[in-house]
Amino acid sequence: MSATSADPDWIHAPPARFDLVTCYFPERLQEAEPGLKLRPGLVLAVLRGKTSGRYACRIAYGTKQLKLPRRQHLDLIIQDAADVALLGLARPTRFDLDHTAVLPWTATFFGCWSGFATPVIGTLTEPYVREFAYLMMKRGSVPPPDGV
Amino acid sequence: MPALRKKRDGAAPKTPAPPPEALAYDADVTAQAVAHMQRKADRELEGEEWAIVDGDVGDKR
Repeated sequence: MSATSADPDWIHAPPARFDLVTCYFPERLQEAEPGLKLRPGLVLAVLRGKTSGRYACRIAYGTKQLKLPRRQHLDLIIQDAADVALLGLARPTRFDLDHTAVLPWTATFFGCWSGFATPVIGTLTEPYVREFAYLMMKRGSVPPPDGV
Repeated sequence: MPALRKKRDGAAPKTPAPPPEALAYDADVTAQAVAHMQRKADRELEGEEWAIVDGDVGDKR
């Protein structure tokens, strides 16, 4: 994985934890061409290659299938209309914390919506960071984030 | 190394409104679909040692 002159500038500016980004995800997995489309993702961690200096991110993918009330105590769900707009989302979104992926911060896995210069579309606000920490503690996987 | 941005002030992001294409995805997040993306990513991630520089979630690769 090495940078080329064709790479967009944003690959040199990694997102931060709890940023919301637009990332590619298959729409039709059962077909030969799964039809990758951009959707929101929540950055859970940022990694850097010790040799290349390139970046990667652990992502929780977002979906507009909220699955309330079944998933409300398991996933981070943004459904308040004002919060949806504040965070840069297009519609209420559930970030699935069951299945996450570590993805290179490249144009293969991330892309920009029209009019955007970067895949970063917003950042979680403190109440949602606290909610995320609470969800993860309930899941028993990690201690709460620093300062939360 | 570019400075990692830290934004925790709750301020509204200075980004454009989402375009119509922001509504164009429908598939649910499934274990199979996430695994598909991870397999694709692993081809680019393998052969490099990765260190977490922001956050502490999941495996350390």
